[in-house]
Amino acid sequence: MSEMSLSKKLLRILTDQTILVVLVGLIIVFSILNADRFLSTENIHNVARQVSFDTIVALGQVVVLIAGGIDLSVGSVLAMAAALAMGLQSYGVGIAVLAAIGMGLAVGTINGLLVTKGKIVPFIATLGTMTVVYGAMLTYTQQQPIPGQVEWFKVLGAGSAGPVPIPTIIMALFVGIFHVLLKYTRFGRNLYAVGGNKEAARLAGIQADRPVFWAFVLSGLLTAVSGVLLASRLNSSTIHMGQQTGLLVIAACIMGGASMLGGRGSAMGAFLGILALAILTNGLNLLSVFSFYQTGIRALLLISIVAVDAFYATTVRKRMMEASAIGAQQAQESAGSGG
Amino acid sequence: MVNQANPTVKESANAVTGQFDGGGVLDRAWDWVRRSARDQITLLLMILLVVAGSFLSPVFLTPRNLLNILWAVSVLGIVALGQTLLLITCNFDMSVAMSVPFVGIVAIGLQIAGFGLWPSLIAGLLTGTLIGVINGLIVVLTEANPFLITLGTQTLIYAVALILTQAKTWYGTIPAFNVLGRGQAFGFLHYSVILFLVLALVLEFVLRRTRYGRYLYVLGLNEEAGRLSGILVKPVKVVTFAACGFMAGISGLIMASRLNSTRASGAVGMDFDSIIAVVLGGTSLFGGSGGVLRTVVGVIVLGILNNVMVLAGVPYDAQWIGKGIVFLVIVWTDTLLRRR
Amino acid sequence: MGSLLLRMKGITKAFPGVRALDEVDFELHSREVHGLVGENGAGKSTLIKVLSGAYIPDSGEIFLGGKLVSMTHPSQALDLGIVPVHQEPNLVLHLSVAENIYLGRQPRNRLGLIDYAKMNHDARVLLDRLHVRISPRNAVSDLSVAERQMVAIARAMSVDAQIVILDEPTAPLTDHEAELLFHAIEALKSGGVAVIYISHRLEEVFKIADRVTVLRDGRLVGTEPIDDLSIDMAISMMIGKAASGLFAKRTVAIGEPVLEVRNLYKRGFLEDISLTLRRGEILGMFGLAGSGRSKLASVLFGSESCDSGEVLLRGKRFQAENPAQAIRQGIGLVPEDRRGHGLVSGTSVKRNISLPRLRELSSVGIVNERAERQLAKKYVDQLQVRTPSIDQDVAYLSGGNQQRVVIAKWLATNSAVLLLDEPTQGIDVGAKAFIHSLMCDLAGEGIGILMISSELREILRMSDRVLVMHRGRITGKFTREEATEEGIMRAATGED
Repeated sequence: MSEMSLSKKLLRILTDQTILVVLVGLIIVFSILNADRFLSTENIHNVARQVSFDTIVALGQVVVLIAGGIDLSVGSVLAMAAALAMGLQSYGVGIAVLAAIGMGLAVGTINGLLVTKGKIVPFIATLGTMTVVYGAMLTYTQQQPIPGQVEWFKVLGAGSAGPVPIPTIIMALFVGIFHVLLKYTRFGRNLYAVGGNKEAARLAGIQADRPVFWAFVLSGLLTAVSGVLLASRLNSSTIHMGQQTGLLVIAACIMGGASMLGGRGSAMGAFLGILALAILTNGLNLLSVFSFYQTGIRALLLISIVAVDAFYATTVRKRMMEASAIGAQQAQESAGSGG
Repeated sequence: MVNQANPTVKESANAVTGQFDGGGVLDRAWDWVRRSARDQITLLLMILLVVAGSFLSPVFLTPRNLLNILWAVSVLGIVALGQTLLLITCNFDMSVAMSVPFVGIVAIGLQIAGFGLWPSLIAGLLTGTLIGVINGLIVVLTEANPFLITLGTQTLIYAVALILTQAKTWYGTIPAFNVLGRGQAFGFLHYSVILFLVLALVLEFVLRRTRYGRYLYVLGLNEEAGRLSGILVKPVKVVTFAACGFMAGISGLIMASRLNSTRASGAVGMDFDSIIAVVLGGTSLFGGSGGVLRTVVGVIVLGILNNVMVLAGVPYDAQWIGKGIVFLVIVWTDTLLRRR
Repeated sequence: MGSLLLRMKGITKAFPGVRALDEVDFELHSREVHGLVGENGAGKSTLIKVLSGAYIPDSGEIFLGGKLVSMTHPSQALDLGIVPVHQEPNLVLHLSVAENIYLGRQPRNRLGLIDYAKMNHDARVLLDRLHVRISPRNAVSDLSVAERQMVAIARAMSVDAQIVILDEPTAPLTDHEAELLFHAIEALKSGGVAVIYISHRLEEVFKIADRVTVLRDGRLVGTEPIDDLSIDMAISMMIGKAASGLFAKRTVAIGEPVLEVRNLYKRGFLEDISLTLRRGEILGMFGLAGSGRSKLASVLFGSESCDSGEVLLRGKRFQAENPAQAIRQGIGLVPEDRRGHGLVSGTSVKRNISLPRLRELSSVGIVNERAERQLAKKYVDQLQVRTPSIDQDVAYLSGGNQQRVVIAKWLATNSAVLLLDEPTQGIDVGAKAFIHSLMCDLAGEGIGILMISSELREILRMSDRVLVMHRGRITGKFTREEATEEGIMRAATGED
């Protein structure tokens, strides 16, 4: 096995664990700038609660990204789930929640079908469903926030078990489940295979369509769950929920190791990415940085992440071709000349 | 001749011998049917809408109403023209939703600051073009997904716009400014409509008759073959992004001029709308085909759709649903027809 | 050698205009390494594709283990234990070695979860049998091509392959890596597997094969035990009687140098390449897969960069950072993948032909359509492209005609130097002759032609001089009189 030089190893760690580096960096910076407020138990508690909602969505997104797709409909699904969970409470809270989750499953299924059967490119397909669901949400809510009808429903989103917020516990549960799913089940590994090299997956007997389909279903499901939790927290739903979510979650997943090209990513990575972004927002908030500036910073971050990811993908791809240099080029040559 | 049950055989045969049994009259005829089927769906949609419209209101088919529709869509239309150029090369510009109002902000901002009409107009156009150049450079140099990148720049522009305006509406200070968006020639034809149609004709000419236009189609069809035939891929793409930005600039000026005011969120949804308009017109999302005249048709159909929905009392929110479904249907047929 | 495992009888496969296989018999025993050799176009690839289920033969039968099998899809072949190993194996780069070996079949523990310990252990066992020192935990992206091949072979072992097919496996390998590959093949063999080994490198074949089958022009020349053959005998079987060309090259006056290349170097691909091409000359470049010929062409065309070296075009310093510059200065390249890289499908014949010349055909950016039409017509006529009209979409033309359009396009650029990468590959005999005649016409007009070809006969027939490349270096220089098949082959395989 070719020995990797020290510098190469460092670079490898830096690129593989960028998110940890970024996270630690952020924590250090804000601790220095604003120690007492940033590191207070109250703040940590808040951040912990805050990350849960987006992390759950990110888990769904990372599954889709690993399979080589992308799900832009998450923002609208989130808002719609929140709206249904609040709006249908006159039929019973349980029914309302079920309806919300059912909607998420339905949208996920539609996305999955559009991509696998309709052969529509994922970001176009989910762009379409995003619009339709957005419109449905606006219609259903009549552009008004919907208040909840029972006080106890708040417990899910706003309550705490001791020092730990309940949504955080739920989030941790999901992270654990998906970590196991992605790493220890054939389904999970097939996702990586299909997203990483569809042809190799096919040759190994894996049907490309099924993992991709289920990935979208899962994304819809998780997003809906997050929507329900979010609605529970405020005990109401607003039409502005989820507006930033789509981009945020994609950026977080990529920061955590996923790639637009598929075949990479992890549950932990998704969580860490969301955490990093949440800490960034939190830190800036505490420093009283105006929210508009925050939007700008986040946008810059997203652009850089996507750009660097793409750049890395193309140059690394090129370098990999050069490394197995004579091989790759000759493979092309002999593809023609093999007699 | 070749075993049809085994497609790999056919492809492999092609690879080995370079022959393929394309060229049969049947193949060509079928392709023609598939392509025109797509156009016919749009045509059908338009007919249905016109029928529904005239049903819903006696005023619908009047020239006045139709010109109104044109006036209403000319802002979107100009943006869609720029978007068409990009789509032909397999790129997108989602930042238009925020760059259009931002151009208005720059222009009106300069007016408020005391600069004259022309400086503000020029600054607006430059801003739009500059945004386009930035988009283009990032996408081309990193080979990143243009969709995501321009969504990112969209947010960034929004942030800057919010910071500048503090989320307030700004009002223009020069009365002459309104002429652009509201003025009419001969008493009935709005300048913005004229501008829209003239730009469409100019761009169509560029696409059909110039070297640059040819390059766009080649890049959309087979970028590598284009590169190996001497097309300078990166500059051409950046120029196209810049052109789209320029169009957004013009639109932004018209929009601000119409309302004599501007606010950061003034064009929400224009990104999606412009793509729908292009796709409705028949330009393929996969690049390599289509044209701006088609986009004009698409824009008009969209305008009629909006008009009909308003006449039918369909609430604004539900319009999103309608548009989304139409979009999906069109994209689905596009995909079906593109797969050989 | 074990018992009879595979029997292919009377396999015939024809494509439009080409008889790739003609009543070929092929036999394979278990525990055998069976070499398959032949020139380019002899039918080796086709035979293998039939065996691996990618092609359905027109006639003939395949018996595996005594039973008649009929395959319509590669997955069926895989199920039967016939495993092709590609030069650039199809692996999932970000997964580990062990995961790639057990892709889709990862071992599970009682909870239904993947048992990584067992998977890594089993992979380790397989890798040890192949004497390969890679950790099963490494990501495949970290591996060299040689190591990836090993992973693919390990995978074949893990699915209990009966037949493993290796197609030019050593092309991307160093000598040392090739040695390791041979050890691995021995391990496969002792495990009961039959190995089909296709290679141009005869000394390798003779090193590891038990028997050798020689194909020529789609026909079986013979199958012999390796001990009964020598390399020279194999070469003459491969070449046979040099066909008295359907086409005799016309002599053309050769002028002064139009292209001079000095010490061109590209790390990992080209080393110390120097050559001179004269006006009116056809310089043949021969080399086996991986020798670097196409890379050289790409570098000269500006499509790829080089690390150092100097190029002079018409006496003046030539530098091209992209194809556009190369074209402007007077170099054209007809790429090997004509349909993928040479043509824009979806556009008309006329527009394809005019594409590199659009700058000259336009004023103020507007294309002069009449001039364009004339240009296209001229070359369509000259090359006898059969198309209903020049506005026809090239996608509808037959392969041979598409070829002509690509060549027409480059003729239209009036380049001083034309680089032709496998110009007649995959074309039927008639069209081949036409293209050769065309090349002579071009040479007659003073154009310098660099012709890359893997077809010995074509090289011998057409070239005024022959250069041979091997592993990025020029290993042979022959004038037309000096060139012989054996000499060229030797240089190409690195013998001399």
